[in-house]
Amino acid sequence: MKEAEKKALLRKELKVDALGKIPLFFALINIDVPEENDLLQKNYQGIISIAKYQTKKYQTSGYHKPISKIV
Amino acid sequence: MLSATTHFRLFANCVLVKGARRSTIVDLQRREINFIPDTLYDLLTIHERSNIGTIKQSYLPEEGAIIESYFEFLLAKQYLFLCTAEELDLFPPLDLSFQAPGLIENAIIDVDAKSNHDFAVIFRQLEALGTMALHLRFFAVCGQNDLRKILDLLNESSIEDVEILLAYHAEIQEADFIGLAKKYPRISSITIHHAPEIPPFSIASPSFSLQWTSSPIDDHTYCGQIGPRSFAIHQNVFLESQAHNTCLNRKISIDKNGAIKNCPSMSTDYGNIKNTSLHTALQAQGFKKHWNIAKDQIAVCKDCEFRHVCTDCRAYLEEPENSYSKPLKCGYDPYTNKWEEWSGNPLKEKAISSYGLEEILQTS
Repeated sequence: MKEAEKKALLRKELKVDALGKIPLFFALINIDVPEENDLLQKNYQGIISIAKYQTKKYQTSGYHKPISKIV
Repeated sequence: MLSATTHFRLFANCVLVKGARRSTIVDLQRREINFIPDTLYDLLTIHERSNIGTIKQSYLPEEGAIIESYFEFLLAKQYLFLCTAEELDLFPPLDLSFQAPGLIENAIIDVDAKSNHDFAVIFRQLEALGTMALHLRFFAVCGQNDLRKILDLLNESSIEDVEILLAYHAEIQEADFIGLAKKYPRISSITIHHAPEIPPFSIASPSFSLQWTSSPIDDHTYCGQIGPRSFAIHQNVFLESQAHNTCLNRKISIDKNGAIKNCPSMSTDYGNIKNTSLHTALQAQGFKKHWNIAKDQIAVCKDCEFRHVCTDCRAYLEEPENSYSKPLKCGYDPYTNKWEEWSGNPLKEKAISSYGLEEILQTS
């Protein structure tokens, strides 16, 4: 895969916005998606999982499931 | 038109779940679920490593257009992307193992007019067990001052989220709830039971919700209702559901009398909070009996396309003596894809009677 394609795919996978930022998570820690980072290139699935988890964590309030189903 | 040599990969966070009559794609990132035909599930799993040309050759020529439309749908929804054969192994599937940091993740405390819980002691014990979320269920009227005294105890707690069930009384004002939500940001939702048919007011906030129900919820027997409202499309639930029970795993409860149980609706208790610590109860033989009953092991549920987003119930079962039978209060049939009112099913009458639920069905 060409480098440009790999980066494009990575951006697609992360569903980043046009400015190359994951809207919430990376905005929170105030950095751009590190496109030139070697670790990201070599092992980006792991990075994606962490980023997605963090993004979702900050996007929601409250516990993630009903504790009881009384109504 | 897709190239015959193109391969595909589902995004790792988009996971397929096969049901008896239809399947689902669960997008764990966007927290969305979408139905797909079982034939598409088969195509995506059997031909996981095939290119488009090979896939089309496996079907009749006239089915080529259907296969194209399947891929158009999947691409438009961003469930998959196209790649080459060499790139397939660059995208491993999501690790579906589940891990949680605490011995207990969520807790229920039931309170009625006669309850005499020492909340300070209970909260300290819950924190020591790593509890993240708490449901306080008040079956009788609880005054504002009493409620605030209880919530004050959580001010410096590691418990992150509190849901509250309260009984309606006419003096409840909108400002009271706005004040509560503001002062106690851990509260994510309050549900008022015994409420008038038409709610007197509503509050809309991204971090707090207020719900009303006219049902007279006098005790734990109202719990266990399974339906789309109790679905949780979330990575944690999806992963937990693979090998654990989505309701009872890492849950502890104190019923209105102080009895420590896995769930207040269950008959077995493991001591009373007055003289037994939560930690001791947790270590008792049998406490974790239902923790590892996963949806894939439960009759009917194992064929349901919602099984990995559904929070289960083991307290009320279609066959009370069989821990692996379908939840009694679920009206969904995965073999017809139809929802029906569970309490109207004549096949459930015996179980309803066994749990003594006839009375609440008449009043709700």
